[in-house]
Amino acid sequence: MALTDTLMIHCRKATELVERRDLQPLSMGERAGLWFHMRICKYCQAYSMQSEAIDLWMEERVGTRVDTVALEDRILTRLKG
Amino acid sequence: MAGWVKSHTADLVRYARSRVKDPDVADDLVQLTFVSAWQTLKKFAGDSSPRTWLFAILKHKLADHYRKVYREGQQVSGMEIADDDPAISEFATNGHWTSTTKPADLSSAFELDEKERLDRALRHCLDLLPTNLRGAVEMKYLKEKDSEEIQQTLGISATNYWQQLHRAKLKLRSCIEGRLTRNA
Repeated sequence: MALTDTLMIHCRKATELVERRDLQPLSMGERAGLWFHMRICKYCQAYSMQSEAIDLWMEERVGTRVDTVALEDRILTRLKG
Repeated sequence: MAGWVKSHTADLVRYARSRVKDPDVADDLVQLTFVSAWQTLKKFAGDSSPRTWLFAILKHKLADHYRKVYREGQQVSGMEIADDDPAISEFATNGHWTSTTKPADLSSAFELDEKERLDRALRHCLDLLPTNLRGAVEMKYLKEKDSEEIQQTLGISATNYWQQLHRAKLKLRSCIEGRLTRNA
């Protein structure tokens, strides 16, 4: 494959690689393509930042505190039964 | 065990409710967590705190839940996402963003002064995701990024899993941005 083919990836591919790099090491070619694309595409840069912010929130999110007395009683009844 | 129920139920419920749409389902999963803990109490070696142990069980229950949800969602939608799925409509046929789908706010990583507004937008948009996509995305955070295990649990190929995550993230991003812009 020509060097330009490796480097010139489109936004759809770049954003997919942004998601994948978090879970699996990218190949050398993919890393180079993503690196190059991120230098020229401000939209994918924005996507990457937003994606990271979503990840952070997803990991840290906690719900609001609710009254669980009734549930605690149900659980205790079930454990005794 | 009664002491554990009193000490940890509220935190477990809080965690579970932020990860599933239906609060009743979340409460059931917490209940099942204590049932499992009770049944396997002998295995609890005490090398972690009861809280850590209970949360580990709850994460398993959540993963089980999402595995079921995911498989049901797959049946409803009929088939896996094909490589050139037109549903990834954020991109034009040449693979670039379209004028209406490209990220609008280039300086924003959704780091808002008003954290609560972002929090509401994220919760709302997460609940709008189709069930199978929600399952795929929740798995990523439950299984602590062990993608092979996730693919096995969901019974899908690696490629398919990336596509699901990618689709989910694109939908989330665009939904959140839309909501924040509208409510600005």
